[in-house]
Amino acid sequence: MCKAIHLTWAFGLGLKLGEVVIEDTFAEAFPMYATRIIITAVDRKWALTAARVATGFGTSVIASPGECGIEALLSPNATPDGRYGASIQFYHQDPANLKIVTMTRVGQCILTAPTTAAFNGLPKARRKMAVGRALAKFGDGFEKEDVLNGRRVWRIPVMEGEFIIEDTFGVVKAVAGGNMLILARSREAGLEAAERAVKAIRRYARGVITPFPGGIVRSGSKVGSLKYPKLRATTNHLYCPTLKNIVKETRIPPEVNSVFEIVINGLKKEHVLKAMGVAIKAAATVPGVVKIDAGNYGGKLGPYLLYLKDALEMVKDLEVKV
Amino acid sequence: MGVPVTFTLKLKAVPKVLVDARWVSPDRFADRAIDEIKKFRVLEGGWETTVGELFEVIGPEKAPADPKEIDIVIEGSTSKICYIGYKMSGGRIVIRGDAGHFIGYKMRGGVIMIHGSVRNYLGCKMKDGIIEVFGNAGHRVGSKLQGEKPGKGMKKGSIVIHGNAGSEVGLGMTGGTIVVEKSAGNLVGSSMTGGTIVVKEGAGLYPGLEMLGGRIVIGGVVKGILPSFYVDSYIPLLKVRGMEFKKPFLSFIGDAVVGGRGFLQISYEDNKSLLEFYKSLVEEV
Repeated sequence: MCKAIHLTWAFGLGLKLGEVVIEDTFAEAFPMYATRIIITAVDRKWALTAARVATGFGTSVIASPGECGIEALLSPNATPDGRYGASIQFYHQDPANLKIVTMTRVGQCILTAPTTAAFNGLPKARRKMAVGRALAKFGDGFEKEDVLNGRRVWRIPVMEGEFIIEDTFGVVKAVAGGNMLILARSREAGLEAAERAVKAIRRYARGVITPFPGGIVRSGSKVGSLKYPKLRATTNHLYCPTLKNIVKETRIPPEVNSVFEIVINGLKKEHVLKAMGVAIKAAATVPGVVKIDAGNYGGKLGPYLLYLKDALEMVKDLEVKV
Repeated sequence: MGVPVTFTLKLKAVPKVLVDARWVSPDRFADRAIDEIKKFRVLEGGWETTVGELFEVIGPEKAPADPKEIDIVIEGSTSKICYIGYKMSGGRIVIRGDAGHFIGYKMRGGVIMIHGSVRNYLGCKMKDGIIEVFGNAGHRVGSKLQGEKPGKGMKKGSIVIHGNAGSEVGLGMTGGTIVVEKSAGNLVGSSMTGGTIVVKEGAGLYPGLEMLGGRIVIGGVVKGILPSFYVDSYIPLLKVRGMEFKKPFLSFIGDAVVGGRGFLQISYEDNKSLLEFYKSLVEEV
């Protein structure tokens, strides 16, 4: 339970949330293509297991196959077949690669998990990709087409029984790279704040995922390199506490000794903005957090600029309890 | 840098077969006396001859040591003379008439201006420099050679064609800019991995075949789009390399067949019947 924290404008310091300074800056986000899959299983354990395995090794598109994460766990009355479920999202830079990533992840991780079924989580999307139709070939000619609660599905015979997968999955253009940086006095305080922020996102925000391990990034990166020209991404040296006395243009105050980043991908810009808002509110409750910042490239690269003050404005009436 | 000196090469008689004139370049002329230049080897068909026999060479007694200070003007229209400006690193070549194949082949810098039309492989495998053609160009402008891997074509520099271009413009190119003021043929930018191609009017079938990266802009009618391109966005006003198109474009990503992530941008109004379906798929975030 957190104390009530009030937003204040301190002269010369900008926006403050309790004792924590909120930098007047923005997170720079990019468009990415996304799909949402609803996994159902006989119980919550197997739905979560399939979801966890299917979203593994899906942190940053810099080097992993897509950005993936678990959005929410679903109760039986919210799933197409009335079983326990989990909603997961996959992101990639272009639709062709998204289809490849979705096919491999569903084929290797959800089809193989006991008792699971996979349904389209974006039924209203205008664009579809025929993943189910392609994976149905695993049935080697014994697969059957069917209609389940108005959804066109394939029944693929497997050793355990039957794997049900929807014919097509929707694809939408989504927003990736929404982020916030938690600057704390100590590693313990920073981690505690980051954990609370991720917990708040899971509790209060919908349509978003946090693709990194436990939702937290301890090694934020910058584009390109100062020394090695062939590298696409290297450590964000401006926010490394061990370099604060070495790097002239360091962005961290002297009392800060640890920085954590939270990256948020969402189906819509508003979803990401709301998630950032609740995360900032939750992180600011932890003693030892000095400042909340955001990563950007000067607004030159990404078409979406997500201002921290807009994020807070969006959740100003929401009481965040984590 | 001093004042450039000019060598004028006047064609004595129009050759009937293709001529390999790869010694006609500022780099070869540099630091040579005019008598030496006249003795440069030229292949006319299979027969060996000299620059002096093919052209009337007018210029100073000795060329400067720096190729950047040399201008070469070729007068006389023939589409048989090939390889002009081969591997040139600086200076300027002006061709007052038509030219043959492989003009500016592997050029590294400098300027070539052609006040006429050229044949195939203009600026093939060029690394840098500028080529401007006031007439039309043949096939494979700024391309790689047949059989080479994608990305072995033009690397840097720019080619401007004020007329039409043939097919496979920018085949396998990896950087630089090609601008075609009028229309281009089929397969614009096939196998390209980078760079920009702008065709201000129409293009033929299937632009961007097997492209891996780069950008193709077509401001006119396209005869057909490959099904392996995914529509990405609707652009109300397009800016590309200082040029502005005041009309809407649809941007595609492809070619999915090779896992490419190139941009193909096609004028929406000119191809409404072809692109209407794609437009219906584009959603706002």
